[in-house]
Amino acid sequence: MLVVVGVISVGCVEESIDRYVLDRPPVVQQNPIHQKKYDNPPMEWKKFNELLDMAVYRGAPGQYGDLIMRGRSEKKGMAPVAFSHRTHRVNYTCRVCHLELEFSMKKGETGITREDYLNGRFCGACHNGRIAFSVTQACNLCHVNEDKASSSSSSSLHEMAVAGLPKTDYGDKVNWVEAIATGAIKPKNTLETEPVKTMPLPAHLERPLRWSANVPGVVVSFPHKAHTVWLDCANCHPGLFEIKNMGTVAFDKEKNLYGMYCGTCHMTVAFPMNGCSRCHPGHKDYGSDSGGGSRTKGSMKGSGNPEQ
Amino acid sequence: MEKRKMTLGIIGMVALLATAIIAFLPGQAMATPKSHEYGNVVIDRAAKKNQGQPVIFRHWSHRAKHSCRLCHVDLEFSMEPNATGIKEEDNKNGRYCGTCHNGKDTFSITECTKCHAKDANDAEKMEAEAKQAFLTLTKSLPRSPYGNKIDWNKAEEENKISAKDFIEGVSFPKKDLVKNTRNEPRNPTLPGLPGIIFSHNKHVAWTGCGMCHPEPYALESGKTKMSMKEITGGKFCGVCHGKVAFPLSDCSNCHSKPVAQ
Repeated sequence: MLVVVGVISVGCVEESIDRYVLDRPPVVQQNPIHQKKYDNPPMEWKKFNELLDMAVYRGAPGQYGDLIMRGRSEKKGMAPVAFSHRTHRVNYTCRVCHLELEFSMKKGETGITREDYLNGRFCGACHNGRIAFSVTQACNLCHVNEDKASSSSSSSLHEMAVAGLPKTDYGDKVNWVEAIATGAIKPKNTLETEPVKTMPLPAHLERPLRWSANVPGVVVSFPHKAHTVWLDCANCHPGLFEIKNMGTVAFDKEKNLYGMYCGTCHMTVAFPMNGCSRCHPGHKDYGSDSGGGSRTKGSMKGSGNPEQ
Repeated sequence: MEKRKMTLGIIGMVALLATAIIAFLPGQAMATPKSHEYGNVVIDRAAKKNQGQPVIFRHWSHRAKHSCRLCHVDLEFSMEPNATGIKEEDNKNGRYCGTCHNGKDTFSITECTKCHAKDANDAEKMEAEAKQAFLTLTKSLPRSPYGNKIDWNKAEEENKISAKDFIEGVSFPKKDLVKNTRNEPRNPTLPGLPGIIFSHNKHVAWTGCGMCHPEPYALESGKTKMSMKEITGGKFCGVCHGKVAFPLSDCSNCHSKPVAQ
């Protein structure tokens, strides 16, 4: 059990890391959700280490969040579609596509057809020649060969694209939560003319939730607010996480690493599992002591923001 | 052989669809049904016995023309899938589906294949046709980000649809005097959570009185205590909301009052 702690922390405990998590006053324990305990038995150290090692992202920053969709297009004799989450999330929140436009969070589940996007559904909602390039005019901008896809997200192009955005050391190297909080990007939250009617968070969810894990000394900090700027309640509740008070107790790190629960986004699009400290305050990020560059508070504050 | 494989595959898909509608796997993405599948009910009581194709009942196509009450009170359709026990004989005698599907009001029950797919391929074709019909319908109705992606209440208020609420010879005439159109404010227990405004008016147009009173809601205002836990478990509001009426993830539709200070 103690070894697991060691693996998660990958080093000693570091002071104040994520200002969205740690600079806040400790949570007053009023609501039972703050004392939620996960009682799944801890995983074997070796298995956990292997799993975590598989789950962390080591690819090129420019390709993090890219999807190659080949299933349907190759059946129809078209080149696969290369989709970049990064270029889209600069302008639109997750909510716009994954709620309003009905894009599934699971690859291959949406079932996009040519008929659909020609009728203004899915990609066709914006790619109509008015908001973005039209689906009928520039097929080869999306239907590209794989090698072309990787060259378009080469490191120099990626660096240009993310210049001026707050940095991290993992994934696509952008701290998107900070980018939206500091106003470096202003993604739209809806395609409708009326503003989104969102229920304000109840008081006990205003601050990050702090849960104990099944491993002593490991705390999980979950900030609702960092999520609700991007997502709608419906993106997570009740599908991924039950709304029932303390209903979701059956999830643990293993399930996350298999792409369930948090792993739905935090392995593919949102910051990858390399960023341990973002959810486990006090822990170092994965690989931060082996050349990746330790992510300290100083480097966070010093990250570029043109408007400051 | 190839065909058989395909058939099995499609049967599997339909079964998967059915389970996705009735129960979803927690923790997995893809839990939410697609807008054209929201409110679909798989009626497979007879199909299970006779190895046939299940009937996919689409709430959206019916509620665009009829109130909930008409079928669930006057025609005695149960709120639980497969609990009504519809038989061919019943339909022929003008009960259940046969009340309207008589060849006069709409297509007759003798056109079996309109609801009972011949085989799995046919089921897939029907599904594709239904999706097209759904997308055509959505174009004329106010939109919502949730459920069917149709704001049914607004559609009803703006007379974009007129829900039929009376069938000659079946329904009993109602006295308008009895109608309650009050807004009931409700205070949630959690601090900081916006208050709820329950609109009788919005419900009455669809459900009348009998679908909610006296079960599960006592007639006395505020007497019935409930929690989101019970509601997400399919009780109280959850009897309809989350299955057919707008889903429970549309928080601000009920929690719409400014937060009490």
